[in-house]
Amino acid sequence: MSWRWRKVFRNGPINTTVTTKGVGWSIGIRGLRYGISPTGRHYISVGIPGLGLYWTKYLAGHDATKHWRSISNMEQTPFDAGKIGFADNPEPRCASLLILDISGSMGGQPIAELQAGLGLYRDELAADTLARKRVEVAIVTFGGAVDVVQSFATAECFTAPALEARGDTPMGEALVASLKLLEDRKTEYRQNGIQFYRPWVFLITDGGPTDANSQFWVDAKEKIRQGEEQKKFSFFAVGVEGADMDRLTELSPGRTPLKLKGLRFRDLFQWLSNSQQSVSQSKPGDAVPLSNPAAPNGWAQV
Amino acid sequence: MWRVVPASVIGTSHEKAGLPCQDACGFLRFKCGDEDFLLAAVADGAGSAALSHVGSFEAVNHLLATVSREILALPEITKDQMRKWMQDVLTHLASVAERENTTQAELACTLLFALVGNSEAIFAQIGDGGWVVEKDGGVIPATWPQNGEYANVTTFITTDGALEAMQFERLNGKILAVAGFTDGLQTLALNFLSRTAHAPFFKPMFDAINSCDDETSLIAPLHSFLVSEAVVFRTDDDKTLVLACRCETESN
Repeated sequence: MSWRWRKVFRNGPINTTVTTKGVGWSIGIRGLRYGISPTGRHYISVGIPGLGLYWTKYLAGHDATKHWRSISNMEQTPFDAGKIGFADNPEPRCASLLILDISGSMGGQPIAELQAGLGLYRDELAADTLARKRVEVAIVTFGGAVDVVQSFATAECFTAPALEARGDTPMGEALVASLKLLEDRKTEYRQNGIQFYRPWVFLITDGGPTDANSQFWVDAKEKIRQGEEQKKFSFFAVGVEGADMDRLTELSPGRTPLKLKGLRFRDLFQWLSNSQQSVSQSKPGDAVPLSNPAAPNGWAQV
Repeated sequence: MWRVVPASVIGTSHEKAGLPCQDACGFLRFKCGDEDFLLAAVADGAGSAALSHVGSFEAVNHLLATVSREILALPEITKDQMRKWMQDVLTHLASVAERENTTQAELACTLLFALVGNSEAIFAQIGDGGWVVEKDGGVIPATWPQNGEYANVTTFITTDGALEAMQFERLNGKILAVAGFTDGLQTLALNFLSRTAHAPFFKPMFDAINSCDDETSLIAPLHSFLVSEAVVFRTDDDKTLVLACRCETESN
């Protein structure tokens, strides 16, 4: 061990301390002292004589600190968490991409329930200490046009956007734009040394694509197929009453599309939040059990 | 001779779930002619495998026993030789599975191995966690966690293709200190952006071992550190840390 050496000279109420780092002095009585440390920092120290417990506040400088310390234990901790530095890595992220149909037919009750579900989702994620730092949500809407209404942000940083029903259903275009957004986010994670979990892609619609004859639809199908096959993301298609389930099956031949029971958007988002909380806390080798949304008490039917 | 301070501690999440500590570690020191060898192994049992605490314990002990029995000169230990030893561990796990009346998959664990001589060392690794060494005045990673694309995915020795994916590194030059750890500590000990070892994590610990009179007196403090609030706040997983420093001045 490197030698520590200190010598205290007492002269009435004034103590002079000589150490290898320099000379300090202090004035006071047992239990209350003011002084300048050998490294030049001003401090006040209040202690309980006999217990060896001191509260010290350093006064000057930008590194002013205050702390309790126990003199008797100070020198006996070779692995002192105060001296061992921890790497400052960003939290691993779980990307959650919501692709929402806000076409004209969603007007009225459905869009109001979807809106309420989104608000609940945000609140649930924000209430979980880990999920609020790890789950990143992006929202793309399609109704008349395709809009990225929320780019990837953690629950702390996003507010559920106000949704307004309008226009036709460019689902293929929305899917292609969304998956590009996701791919870009993953590139950013990699470039910044951020670890991440397998992203979730959630499509919610009450109709069928009005661009099914375009290249967008062909590309969307191909990208989802590849993405699932290479485990780039998990794709879930959810049909609301009136949805063209055959078209959704085209998109997701591997994972059967789910049909929302009634307008149970809130239950859907509760499930999503719970599942993502589990995943975002999982460690290698953990089995992450997700409750079956199509169970009798779930929000979906197959 | 080497001074070694090992500790495996249970994580708070495992404690809450009533699970055992699924990490294991072990080491051997021996002298061959003038050369001091350090042999160390670390394993982390898979969270979802029922008997992974048995798997990690058996894997560590079997690997150390096999390598010390069949020890070769360092240059002769090739990646293929290392795979043979890992395969030997797998075969052993199969017999353990039979004994425990379970499947090999229920014994899933990562497995990390180090053999350090005077001027050469080899490191092998299946899965996450890692080895860090102090050498040429710096603290550098010898291996890197295999987390695949996703943070919650890794390779276990029982995974298909695990031996093919095994990392194998040979370092030349004199290594002054070595640390092996499981994934519970990797985000505290490594900088993922720069892919470097976080020296302020390791240096104070190496210093403590170098400056102590009796390293066995440091086992309890290392244990306390690993369960201290500062560490547990950052990681609720099981944690293993094996620290080893080359001790030059000892007269044996």
